[in-house]
Amino acid sequence: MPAALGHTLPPVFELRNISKRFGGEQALNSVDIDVRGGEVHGLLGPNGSGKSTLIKILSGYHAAEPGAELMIHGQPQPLPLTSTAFRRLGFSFVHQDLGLIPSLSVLENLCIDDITSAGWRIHWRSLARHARTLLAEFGLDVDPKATISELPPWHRPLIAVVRAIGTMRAAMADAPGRRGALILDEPSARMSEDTVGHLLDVIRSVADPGHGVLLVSHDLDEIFSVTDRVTVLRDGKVVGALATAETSRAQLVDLIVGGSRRPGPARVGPVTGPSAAATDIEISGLRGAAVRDFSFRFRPGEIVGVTGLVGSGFDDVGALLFGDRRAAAGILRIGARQEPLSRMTPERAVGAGMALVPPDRLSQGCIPELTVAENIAMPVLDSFTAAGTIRRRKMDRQVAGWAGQLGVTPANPELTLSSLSGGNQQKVLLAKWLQLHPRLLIAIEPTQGVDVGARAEIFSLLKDYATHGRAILCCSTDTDQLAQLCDAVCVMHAGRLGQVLRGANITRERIAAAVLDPSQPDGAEPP
Amino acid sequence: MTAPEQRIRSLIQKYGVFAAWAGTIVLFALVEPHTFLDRQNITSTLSSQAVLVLLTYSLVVTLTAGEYDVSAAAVLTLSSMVIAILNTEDHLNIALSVLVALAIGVLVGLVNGVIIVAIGVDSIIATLGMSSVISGLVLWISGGNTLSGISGSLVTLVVVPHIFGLSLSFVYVVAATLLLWYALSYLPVGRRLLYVGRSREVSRLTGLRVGRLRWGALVAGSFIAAVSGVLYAGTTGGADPTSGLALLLPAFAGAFLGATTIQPGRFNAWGSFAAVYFLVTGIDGLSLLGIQVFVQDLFYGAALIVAVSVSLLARRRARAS
Repeated sequence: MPAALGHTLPPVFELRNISKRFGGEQALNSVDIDVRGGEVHGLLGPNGSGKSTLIKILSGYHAAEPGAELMIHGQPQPLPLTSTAFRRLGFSFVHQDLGLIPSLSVLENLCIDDITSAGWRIHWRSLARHARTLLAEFGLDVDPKATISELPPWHRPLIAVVRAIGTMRAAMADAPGRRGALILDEPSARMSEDTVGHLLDVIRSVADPGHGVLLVSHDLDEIFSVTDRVTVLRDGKVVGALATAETSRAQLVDLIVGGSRRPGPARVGPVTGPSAAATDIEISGLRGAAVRDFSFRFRPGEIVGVTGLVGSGFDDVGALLFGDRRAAAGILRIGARQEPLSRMTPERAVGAGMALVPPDRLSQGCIPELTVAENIAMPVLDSFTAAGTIRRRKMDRQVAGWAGQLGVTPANPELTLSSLSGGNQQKVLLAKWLQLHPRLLIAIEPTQGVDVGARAEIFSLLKDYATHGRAILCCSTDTDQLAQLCDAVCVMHAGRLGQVLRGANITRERIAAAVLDPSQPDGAEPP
Repeated sequence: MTAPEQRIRSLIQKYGVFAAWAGTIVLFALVEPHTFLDRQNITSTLSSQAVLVLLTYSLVVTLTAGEYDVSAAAVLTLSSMVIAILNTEDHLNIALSVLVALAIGVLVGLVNGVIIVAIGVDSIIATLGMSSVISGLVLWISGGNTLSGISGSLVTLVVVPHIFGLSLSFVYVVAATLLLWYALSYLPVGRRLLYVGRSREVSRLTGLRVGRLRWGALVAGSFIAAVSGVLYAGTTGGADPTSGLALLLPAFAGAFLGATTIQPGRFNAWGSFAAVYFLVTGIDGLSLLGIQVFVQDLFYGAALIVAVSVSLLARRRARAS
């Protein structure tokens, strides 16, 4: 539980009047935040609220607009500070990617600073001793010689945090009594509920002796169990700075989500086609990766969103259905066909009438250095062969027709894909799959890195496709996208399907609230 | 850049290597008109390089699928040595000897597939090891000796002049070029190899059988290398335990230089054809000028580096514009 002593200590650092513009967009607007000694300070906000930008300004990656101030121990410091200057002042960061090198050992990762800055010779024995003490102090039963990639994944955030603590202490070795700061950007995102407790204990134990911790998190359970105060960002502004103990869950959710959670306008429901029975799709007992249990039955012509926090398994649902990752159990029924998901492969999935629009367009979806036509033709080569030979003219004509139909511009199928804009690349990817008329189209973050105009076009393409009685599953954290696109939104918590929102409950705010807080039924149907 | 300018640039890129080949011919024809334009010189240049062209095509297949098969030259040597031993020492029928050699080529490809696809070893490492293993085998079975006296019927089929003084081997080269061009452009499997070579991940998520395609490419590449070994045995009437290895770098140079032309950015049949003959013509001309043997190594090595650098720079510029 939060320590009482922390509140009496002065701030370790204060940021004042931090603004940042990217092009025309105001990412941060005069943000103030201070982290006191001995406290764990939560930083919350929806995606795109400016949390990461703030952390990146603090770490010196971005420069803030003029007028910004940084005070460390009450002393003004020039911004931006270099990372070495920060380190000397006792600041230590754990970024979202953790910054571990998976192929090296725990020892090499823990002592990476000492190793890279070593003079003539690396004193392995003393480094090993240091690493063992550090690991033992935080209750990590890990062999320093083990390779990071061999460890269970939930050990990694712990090791990254312990390393950051080591770095922070090393900086203050020559100035006893000084207090440092630990800045943690969603360290627990990939940890399950039963393992995150250990991390929170570690975080707490760092703050107690008087150091300050800034913790970025989406997880309200975590925020309530470990933080003393929270600052909530929305649209680049501070919308709330509160003491955690005096705040209720609902209050916090309202602050994050913003505005009221009134029902939105009723959506036009899915169109029931004559082929309703044939396209009937049901997922039962899906388990694998971060997913523990997911069952869902599609109504014909329905666009279903799946969302949740990072690590809740929402994005794994798509990958498991398509056989991109192997499921432990589960059955997918498409019409009369039963597909055991533990034996699913992408090849079978395509055969069963599925298609996948993966999250990373350029490394998973299409091949940037090939032409638009070649990308679209990828899954249909065999349908243009006569006597084993590809009929190029026919294929090119058909493929160009598809690109045209989806509004790919410029309308030249011989251009290399990389010369197109992100939105048009995404349309090519849709053309590649929609020509197969898949019964279940799985789209993971389908409008990531796509401009506003193309985004609207892609939405209408997908909706249009669904009205033909086809099912679309959209895994996304983009609440605006889900609200605009979906007929039903499945919200996942810790690998299980929580609420299913339908109809008037599908608004940005309600989706966001359901993601943050599983305990709020908020008029949703039981799954 | 204006549209006509762009068209000219793409034409230059498309036919650059052919133009360079023509330029080399004109240059040496002017400098050394008697020896270089001698009919004997022309026909022997065109015919004698069939082995190198086939080996290059073997690499075109594996490179298209995204694999580096550096054991291809060793397969060539093994194939010719097997024919020589079976035919001259064991007195096996020449047709059967050739079949055995080709089967061994396929076998090597299968084993490479086990190591690269099933186990997951990086292809360049796996085939580097395989190359050494095969070279050792060749030295073992040949006792380190050069063999000669392979059946005349094979030699006749390969070297004896038939059409306009060109031997059949040049006809084989043209046929192989047509076949490879057709397979890579018009057969679904050729397209799939291209997809897999460019992105295994995208291919997998599109439902292609990535493992099988890579394996197939390795087997096909080894098979073509074994065919080039048959041509070697036919051309020389014997087999040499080491000479095949000297062809590896020229073949890579041909494949990469070929990938800058005809279909720039793709390993392709006609581009490789032009590239190999451009390189060979250059070396032929230089050696007629009396320049020493080292020029070969120099020329092939430089061509490989230049070809890969040029295509990288071209790609970077295409991305920037």
